[in-house]
Amino acid sequence: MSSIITANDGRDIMPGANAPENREYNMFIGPNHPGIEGNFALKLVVEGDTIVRAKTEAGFLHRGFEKLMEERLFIQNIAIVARICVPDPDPNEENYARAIETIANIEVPRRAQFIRVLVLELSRIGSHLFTFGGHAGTIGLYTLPNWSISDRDRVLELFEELTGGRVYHIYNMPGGVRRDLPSGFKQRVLDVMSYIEERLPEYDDIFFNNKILLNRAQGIGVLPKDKALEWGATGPDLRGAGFAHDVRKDDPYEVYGELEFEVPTGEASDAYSRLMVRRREIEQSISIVRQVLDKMPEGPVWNKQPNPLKWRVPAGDAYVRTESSKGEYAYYMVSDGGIRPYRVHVRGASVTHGVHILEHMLTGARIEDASQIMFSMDACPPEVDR
Amino acid sequence: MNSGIGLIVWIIAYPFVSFSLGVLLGGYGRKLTARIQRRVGPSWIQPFFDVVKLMSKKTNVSHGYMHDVAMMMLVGGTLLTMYFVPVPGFHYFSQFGDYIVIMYILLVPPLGMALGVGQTANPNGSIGIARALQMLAGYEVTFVLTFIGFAMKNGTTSMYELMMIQQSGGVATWGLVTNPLLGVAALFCLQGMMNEKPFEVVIAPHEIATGPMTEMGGKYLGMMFIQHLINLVVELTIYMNLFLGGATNWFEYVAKLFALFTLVMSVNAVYGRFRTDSALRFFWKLPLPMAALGVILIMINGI
Repeated sequence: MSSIITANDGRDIMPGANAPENREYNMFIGPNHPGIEGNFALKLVVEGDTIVRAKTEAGFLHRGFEKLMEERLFIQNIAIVARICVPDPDPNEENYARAIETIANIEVPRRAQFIRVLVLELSRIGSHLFTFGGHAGTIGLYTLPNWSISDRDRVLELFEELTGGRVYHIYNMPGGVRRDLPSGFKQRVLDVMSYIEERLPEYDDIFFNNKILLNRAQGIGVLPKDKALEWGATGPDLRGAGFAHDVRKDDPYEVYGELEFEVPTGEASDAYSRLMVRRREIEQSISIVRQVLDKMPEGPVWNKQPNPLKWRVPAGDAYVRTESSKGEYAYYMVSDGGIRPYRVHVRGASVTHGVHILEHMLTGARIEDASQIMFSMDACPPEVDR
Repeated sequence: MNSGIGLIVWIIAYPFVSFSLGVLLGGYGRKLTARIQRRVGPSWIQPFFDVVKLMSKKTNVSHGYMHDVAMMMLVGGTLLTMYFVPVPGFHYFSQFGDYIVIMYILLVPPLGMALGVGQTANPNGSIGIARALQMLAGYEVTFVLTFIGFAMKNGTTSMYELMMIQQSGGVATWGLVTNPLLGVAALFCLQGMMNEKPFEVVIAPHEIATGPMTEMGGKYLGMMFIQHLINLVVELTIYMNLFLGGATNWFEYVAKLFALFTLVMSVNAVYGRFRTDSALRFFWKLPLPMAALGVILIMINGI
């Protein structure tokens, strides 16, 4: 390869200057970086402003969740699973509880099923609000994070009232939920839903219809439609590519089969398309919450189980899945009839979205888009490290 | 105040006055942004506390001679510019240098920053500097064009004289009113010069880890803060003198400074940041043709 620096007579005075190793340089993004909701790093090989290769680096939040669960009682693991995805912990709780219920053939009271859907949808709303803030931050629009994260706080206050915890709820127990709705809680949920619904047009004005966002997010981080299924994308990332796949519709659990809602999809399969899917999902979640509160029957909320310290779940296995805000969550649980699970495997969306697909997407992208592409995939680092 | 002891007092006091105004403006900007973001925001003089904290830190790492000298160029260049920009009661140095001189000196701080950051050899910093130089090609060309048009119309390049001409007929003779194309084009440039969104591509925390500031800590960062605060006053004053009739007294001066800064910070709060190429494209597509049209109109009609 000829040099980029030559003498007047054409002599190569800096041999190899144009070789890739001399044109490329390394850039490190993270692990403390607002491009993702946790500690996660990117190692980029860059030429000019273009990313030539991208390597994700996980492991900063590794606590060995899956192995840890094999060492603890069934009941103790409920406190662990919520930590697999901080912004949206409830699908983990619900999945874990439902896996045990499937193996042990435990019936969940109908009211508890409605409450679980309520909690799952509130969690989805909170998680999406968090994502909007993060995504806006990647393009420097810091007003939206301040708005959306303070609005998310209203959802967290509901959780605090219902479960005692703002972020981790430890509320879904095998056989139902830990406690019933407090007095007046329904009205407070409706008030918060109305508030968030009123706020969405303001979000549209400042963010979703903002010309800078349109300029920066459209056509960026395109997930090829023909690869979306092959690479295992799920959730809003898959729906942003035009596939109306939603576990709540395709394989209904709890009482989702009795509720009416749409599955928003996008077309362009770019960062903006995925963002708008999440935006429209909030509207659907608000609708679901209202339906749940309207249809929720009276009755018990927990099918009480034996002494948890001695509780043995019958031998067997179960594969259950949930539609989380990040994508499809699935738990494969094996019990050997003991007091601890033999194996719990968590199939989260974040390894697929935040590692494999992200590395593909970043190749050829520009440095300034790296954070935005990363956030548009909405991965959860602790879940990658599980 | 432009001769004798009064002049000496002004020369000594002016940097402190500018810095104090910069602190108030900086604090006001943060407070205003916070209110738009539904926050309470920090104290009005928080920038002062920030500078005191940073300047009281011990410097453990210097990347070399140029790293240190660059900070002098950064603050020194801005202070020098400040002296040539007339304010109410103090325009002594305006007679020695017109806007062309100011333009020259205004390039010293970015040059200093480029040299200092280059010495640190941090890729984020280098990219930030490259972006800063690209942005210069966007707003600087346009701003110079607006000035050329305005100078052609009024037959002088002296900022003080331009200010006096505008003050002769009240608001009706302000540059923004008599030459709205130039005034609006320059307003876009002001946003770019102040490195505020949507043109905040040089710092870009999510993209290049604050760019030029990446390797700056302690006193180095403190010097950058000081330069930034004084620069706020200088750049706003330049625009005010060219298009808002300058100011006849300090009350008017401060009121105009804060009004102009309110506009800049309000836009900053509700927009994200352009990509560098988009920012450049924006300047070349909108403000530059506006300024060019303004100049052509002046050449044809003298308006």
